[in-house]
Amino acid sequence: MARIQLENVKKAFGKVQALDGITIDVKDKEFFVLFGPAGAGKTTILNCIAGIMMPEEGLVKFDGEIMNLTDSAHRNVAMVFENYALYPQMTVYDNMASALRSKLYKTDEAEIRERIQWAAKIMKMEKLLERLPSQLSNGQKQRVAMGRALVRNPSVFLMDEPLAHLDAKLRNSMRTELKEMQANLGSTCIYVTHDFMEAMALGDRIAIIKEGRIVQIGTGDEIYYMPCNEFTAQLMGDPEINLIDAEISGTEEAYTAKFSLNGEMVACSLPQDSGVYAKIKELGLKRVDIGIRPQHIKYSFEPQDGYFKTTVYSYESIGNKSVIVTDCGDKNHSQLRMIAPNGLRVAIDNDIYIHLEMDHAIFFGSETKDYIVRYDEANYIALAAAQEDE
Amino acid sequence: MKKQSFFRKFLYSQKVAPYVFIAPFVITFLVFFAYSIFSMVMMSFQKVAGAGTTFIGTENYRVLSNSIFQKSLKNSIFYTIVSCALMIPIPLVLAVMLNSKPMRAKSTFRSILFIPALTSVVVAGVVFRLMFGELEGSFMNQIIGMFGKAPIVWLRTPSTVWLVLFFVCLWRWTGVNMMYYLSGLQQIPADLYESASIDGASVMQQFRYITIPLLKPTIVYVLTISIFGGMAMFSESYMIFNGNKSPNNVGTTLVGFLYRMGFEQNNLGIASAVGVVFLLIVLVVNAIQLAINGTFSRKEN
Repeated sequence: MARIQLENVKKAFGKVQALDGITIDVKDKEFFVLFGPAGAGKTTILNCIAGIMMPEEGLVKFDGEIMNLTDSAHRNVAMVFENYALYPQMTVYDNMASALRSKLYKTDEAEIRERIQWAAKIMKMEKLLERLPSQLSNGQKQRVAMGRALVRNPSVFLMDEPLAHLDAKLRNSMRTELKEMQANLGSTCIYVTHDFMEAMALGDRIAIIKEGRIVQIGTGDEIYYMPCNEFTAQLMGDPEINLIDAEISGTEEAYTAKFSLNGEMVACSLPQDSGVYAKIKELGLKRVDIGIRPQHIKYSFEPQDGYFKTTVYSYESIGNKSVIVTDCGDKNHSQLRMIAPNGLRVAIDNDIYIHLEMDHAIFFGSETKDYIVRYDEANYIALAAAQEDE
Repeated sequence: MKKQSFFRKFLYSQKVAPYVFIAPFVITFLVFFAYSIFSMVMMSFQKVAGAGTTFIGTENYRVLSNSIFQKSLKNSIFYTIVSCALMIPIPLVLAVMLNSKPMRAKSTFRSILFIPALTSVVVAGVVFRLMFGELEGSFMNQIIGMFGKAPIVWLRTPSTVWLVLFFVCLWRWTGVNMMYYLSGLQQIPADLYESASIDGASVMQQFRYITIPLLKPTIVYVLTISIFGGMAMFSESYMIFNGNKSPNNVGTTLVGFLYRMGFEQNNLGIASAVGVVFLLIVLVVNAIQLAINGTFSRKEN
């Protein structure tokens, strides 16, 4: 088990800078998630750690030891590939045994058998051991690929979207399983995903990657509640956060946010909060992007005080809840998303009245798109610090 | 108008249209393959002389005991075995090299190795005949002369005849077989090799346990066409010896013998008998080979 560090790692493919100065420090026994949109460079980071690719610049360290020039065989890593990488002519059993039969990790057959039985039990695939990969479904192949990594005893597990091809039910149960397994094995694990639920559920810490750079590193809650910019805020959370382009006016006693809705300027008073008010005063903020999570927009079908009129654009029921998207007829924030209980009878184009709970708002710079402040900030900083200590 | 509607009805009919589409193949197959094979078998039991044909039973098959037939059969088999032994592994190694990451100028080498396949056998045969000439001034004799060797009568010594034939074969077909292998190699997912190298497999192990098994369908295909190509070899020998007349039949192949019987001595009956024997040999050899390689076994997928 090991601590994995990358220092200013750069890697280019021709003219494309795939990694542009990646620095991460994965602690021993940590479950570290690399999270970002497709093409951000997540898999390339894994490949650099595994030694499949050589970074052009920067250091790869295992437990403080520089590994740049060590070939992948001698790094003692186990990797789960997104496309499984199973040897098609070997049975599941032989596939799982292949690493333990190599010269480097030579293990006697009795122990191989024992370890494979153990891994097969965890992965719920005892019955599949004699099959060939061509006789497996994609989900089963993925479990075999995971099992093949598990039987090793590597310094770090590298997992490239290992749950991507599983069906929803199995994915959820594997998620729980994986977290528990990693805790029991006490192994370091670096996990790539583009599913924010997976990232939040699994990661001790999450690194947000965008275009070969690290945008933010932190615990799931930290990133969710205090995203460092609008990109991260939009990435974390489904449905996506609502961003409203607003003007701030008022005095130290009471600030008001004004924004356009259906072509009219509406005003929404900002509740008192020492942190927020101090920041507005300090920076002299006039224009901000206000981020409001979908669960902090309330709706009503009757006109009410403090509610603004909009029309329903779409209504999707997703089982235990539903998502309403309203049309605000404005260029900058033409649609607002909110979460509602399911079983509502909502017709498209009906009027709906919405209320923004400003006491959960997150403020971003309207030019820079970077995080400025949020309500209850002190609370969330304390929460993040407490999680970091665990 | 009525005519067009009939035509349309015909072409747009679900029952007829499929037959129209496969007709070109079926017709050419029936005329040029099925009929020819049938007529070859028939002729092998006939005496074909000018105007008339008469059935003479298995008389033509007496040729099997002809010593020149036996020699040419031996030549063909020897040529097939050695050319397969050369043409399966050498292009494979070249293809693996050309497919490997550190290799530079891949497409240049690929083109260079492929060019010989584009030249005509006739031109290549003539040029090689001149290169391997008997005179001191011929290209190959000059080269061995640089190493202090006496000139060799290349095309009239049995051992060097084979050397020349295999050299032509290698020169001409390496690029083609290499292309087959390359297309096969490119189908193998790269992450298999990555996974194997992470798990500590050496380059040789990766070749043995990933490349060979995953390339097997291509290897079987190359082997099949090489066996047929080896048995059917004729034009190389014909061009190199400037006609179908190698000294003491040292370079006469089965097809060469067939050609001599049928077209030089106008004995189509015997030629047909040789053709039947040739067909049976190739069929049996390839059937055995494919059965060993498991092509006929039912694939579960």
